Amino acid sequence: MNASPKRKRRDKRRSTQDAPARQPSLAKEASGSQNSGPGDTESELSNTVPANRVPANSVAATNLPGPIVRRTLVALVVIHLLIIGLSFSAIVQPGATHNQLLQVASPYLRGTHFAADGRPFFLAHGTPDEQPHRLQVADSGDSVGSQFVFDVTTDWKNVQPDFFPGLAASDRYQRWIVTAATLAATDQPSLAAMMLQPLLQKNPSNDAARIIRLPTQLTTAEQDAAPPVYLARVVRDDEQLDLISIESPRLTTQARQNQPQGNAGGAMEGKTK
Amino acid sequence: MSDSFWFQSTDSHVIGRVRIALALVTGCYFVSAMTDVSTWFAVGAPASSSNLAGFFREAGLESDARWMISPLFLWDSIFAGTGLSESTAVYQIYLVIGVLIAFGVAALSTERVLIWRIPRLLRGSLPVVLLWIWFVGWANRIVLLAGLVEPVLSLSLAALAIAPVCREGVSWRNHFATRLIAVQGSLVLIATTALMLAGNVWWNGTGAYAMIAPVEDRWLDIRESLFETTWVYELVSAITLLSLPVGLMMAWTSKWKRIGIGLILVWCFLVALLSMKILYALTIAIIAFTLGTGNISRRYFQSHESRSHQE
Repeated sequence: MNASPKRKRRDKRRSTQDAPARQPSLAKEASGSQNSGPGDTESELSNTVPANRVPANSVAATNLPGPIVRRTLVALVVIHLLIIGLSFSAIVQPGATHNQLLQVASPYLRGTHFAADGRPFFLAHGTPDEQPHRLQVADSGDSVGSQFVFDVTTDWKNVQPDFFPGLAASDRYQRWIVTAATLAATDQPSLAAMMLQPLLQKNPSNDAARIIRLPTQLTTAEQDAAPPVYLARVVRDDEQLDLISIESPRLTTQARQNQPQGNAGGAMEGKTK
Repeated sequence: MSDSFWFQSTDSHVIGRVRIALALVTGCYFVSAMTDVSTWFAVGAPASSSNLAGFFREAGLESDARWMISPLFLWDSIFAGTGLSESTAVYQIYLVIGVLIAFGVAALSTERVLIWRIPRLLRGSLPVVLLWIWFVGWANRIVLLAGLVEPVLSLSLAALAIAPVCREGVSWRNHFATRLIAVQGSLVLIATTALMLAGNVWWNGTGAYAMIAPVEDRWLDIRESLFETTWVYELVSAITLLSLPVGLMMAWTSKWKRIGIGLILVWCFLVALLSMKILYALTIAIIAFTLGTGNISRRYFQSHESRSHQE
């Protein structure tokens, strides 16, 4: 397709404007760009000397690495890109072979922090772990006797992120709590407890802790009414702090009012720490 | 891929500007990490070295953790039991040094610094290699607290380290580094598109809504705003989903490069606005200027320069 007169004028004007900026570097590679004719606009504009268009005795040609080095570098780049592709393609649900390959590439991927490591590069999938998560604590102010009883009237206080939402500090809080919630949801409450213990250590009046998912405009009423992702009683013994996780009941037809008091929603108390 | 795709002798015009921008983003990243060091990394804090070691042991992830190499882990291990181990001050100093290296790399890449005599050692790749190692050291240390920006920034800094810092003459390393950043970035963006399509929200038009729905963790509260109108969020979802692959394809053609890069910048803007992943969006936006078979980025920068000269 022929360029329009307007386009030609614009190109000419741009060429005139660009000339002073290009001049010094063009002078430096004068010997290397001898083969670029006046019609070679792209080459002039980009100020580059392709490997296959330079005379062998020019400065630019001597600047390029030899063919063996070039082939080696390209081979290394291809391997590098394959490994990166392997890591990023494992984000949603990697297969067994995929996982084995990732294990082999682990020293390279983790040592350099190139690993995607299952992070949400998809930005949003509308899953529960994308809801805002909050760590909440309750103290024994309303309890009777030594055993802290918590129920629907318990006053839970949010442990808020340090800084404004959306900033890096707030993101770190969110990632930490989401990881703990994920561990709790996958039947690993002891690992969740390990992540939460240091956050609860500072305040000696905390008697219970839980992680909740805040409702969003996309969550259903059923999801909003779901029990906390993690619920635990805080037990202190001298300097030692333990979290006794309380598991939520599953698939029960028992009426709420018939369930035993002392556990939120009739939860079963587990001995996981 | 053809030999000339990777190997051409190029000046440092494009890579120099990309280096300045990436170094500034890295500097901002280090600054952002300073705000809550004592919350996470001090003695007894959730992500202190000893707590993490216990966590990985309990989770059976020791083999994975073995490769998360960081000078800070080494420091905490060497000085274990003393006040220097898991010390907030040490971590703050690490971050301050990171900021200095990052802004130093940015300064070395500007022509203005050339009025002083720069030691030969700092004219090559060393400053960026140092910045990359420093950055990876921190990213590996924070482990579970790391997000989307760390892998992308690490990949870009590693590629950037191939090119010499000072803009003297032409070098094939400038072009090779630019190409590597562009190809890596394209790979990440292709993977991102594929991963987005794996979720229902990007098919039923609520993808953009899902990004901003956790309003407690966002700057914008879209509740009862125009964004809740069906056609608005469906349109924004469609733009977010399509601008990335279409922009990427166009950016690698000679005719539509500018529009392609523009579309990727639109995607970055939407991601920053809706999901608050600002440093990640900024990094991708910088990478976008390296895309393409020609050197549109150089042309873009030059036309801006000449315009500013005229003004």
